[in-house]
This record gives sequence, C-alpha cells and structure tokens, in this order.
Amino acid sequence: MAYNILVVDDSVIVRAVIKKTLDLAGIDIGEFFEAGNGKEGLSILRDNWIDLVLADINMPEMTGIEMVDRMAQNGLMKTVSVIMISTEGSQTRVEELKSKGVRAYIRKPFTPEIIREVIDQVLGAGDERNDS
Amino acid sequence: MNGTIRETLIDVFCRVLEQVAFAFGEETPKEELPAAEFSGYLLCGIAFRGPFEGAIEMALPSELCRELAANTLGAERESVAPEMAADALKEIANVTCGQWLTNVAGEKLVFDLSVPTIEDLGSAGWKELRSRASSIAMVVDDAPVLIDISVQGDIPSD
Repeated sequence: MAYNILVVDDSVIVRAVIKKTLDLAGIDIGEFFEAGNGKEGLSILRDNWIDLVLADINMPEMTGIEMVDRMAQNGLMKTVSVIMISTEGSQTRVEELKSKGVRAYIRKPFTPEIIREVIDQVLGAGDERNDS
Repeated sequence: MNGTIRETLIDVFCRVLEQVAFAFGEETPKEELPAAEFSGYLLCGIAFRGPFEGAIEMALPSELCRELAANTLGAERESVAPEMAADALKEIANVTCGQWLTNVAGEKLVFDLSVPTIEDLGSAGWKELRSRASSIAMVVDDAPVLIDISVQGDIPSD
C-alpha cells in the first residue's frame, strides 16, 4: 500500500533529506507533499488525503505543536498520524506531544533505519512489506 | 566561559558535523584563523529559552556551507543551490543547540528554541566575533570557523 506523506519543515534541505531517507527506507510513497510551516501544512491537509505527517517543531509562522493543536480540533485531520521530527531532546516535551495525539517522536539527526522502524510502528506496514 | 559549556559545545558541534554532513572539525588556536581579510562568510544564530537562556552563534565560509549542504544531500557541490548553503548551516546550528541543551541540562527540562537566523558576515563582524574571549576557533574540513555561546542564568547541576 502506498502512503500519501506530508513533510512539514521550514528547511528545504531537511525536507529533501527526509524524502531521500523515506526512499532509502523502502517506504512506499504515493504522493509526497511538502510544507514550510504549520499553516501551509494545514492547508495541504485540508485539500488532500494524507496518511502520515512528519513535522518539525520550531518553524516560523506556525510551529509544529500549534499545527497539531489545530489538527486536533478538526474531525478528519485528528485521525491523521503525526510523527514529530525535531532536534529537541526533552522527554517532558515528548510526553507533552504524545498527550496531544502525536504518535511518535524522532530526534535529529536520524537514520533511514530509525525512520523505517518508527513508520512501521505507526502505520503497521512492516509485515506487509516483509510479505511482498 | 565555563569549561563544561565550552567543551560540550565543541564536542557536540563536531559530532553533529560528522553525523549530519560527514565533515570533520577540531579546535585550533585562534591565532591560526584569519584576522579579517576574507569575504563570503555566513553567520548563523539560534537562541534558547527555558530554565536558563542563551544563544549560539556560528560563522562559516559560505563555500564550506555549500559543501556541507552537498554532503547532507549526497549530491555534487556544483548541483547545490547557494540558498541551500544557508539552509545547511541553519540545520547544523539547530541540531547542535538541541544536542548541547540535552548534554548540559538533561532530558527533563523543556527549552524553546528560536528559528535560526542567518546573515552575511562582513569583515568587521568576523573581527568582533574573533576578538571575543568566549568565541572558539575551529577548523572544519580545512576551513576557518568560529563558534560562540552565551548563557544567562544557572545551569542546574542535576
């Protein structure tokens, strides 16, 4: 099954690295969407079917946390799986994110292996890929 | 500058360079860095706020930043757009700041990080940064680099 994935990060280079890492990790991508901040991310979420959001925390205009808060207020968006990818290492912050519905947290810098492991956990796709 | 703050910053910066951009850095005597005669440097700043606050600054040649961007993307240097150079430096500053905070303050405290800023660094700016007692001279892939950190407030001992 191919997944429509949205990456929200203000860094063009990070978005490119995440895209490359997803390819290396063997994630089956349907459509790949990019946004430079939470506001742009919400706009893409409103107009497209998204299976998974990978979002940074610190971004101009609207942070990843604000975006997650807005998603929680929308009946359809709150069902979309969100993984935060950020540099912050505070477990207190990670717990706060999970209480807001964030499914997992990946700390930068990351490897393709970590990305694959976490996405498999969140989307439950590991068995399917192993069977194919 | 407190020894732990300084040594941890050098350690974290070198580790992040290696992990993110496959580049290698080491501290060098400040006298070995150019005093002022140069062009094409970028200055990146990132601030943090929490139980204590402060900021990290990094000055790197823009050509080195372009090389770091190419390494990060696994691409040829010539194929990397100049704006990607600034983006690579911002990301290195961002990851360095997050890792440094965890190293010195542990995993319980929460900090808010600013969006990294970037600007062209003129000769006067380099001279000022180099003259600070707290700034650290580094060599990254044979290129001169300056980093600095300022901290206000006490870092908890636990």
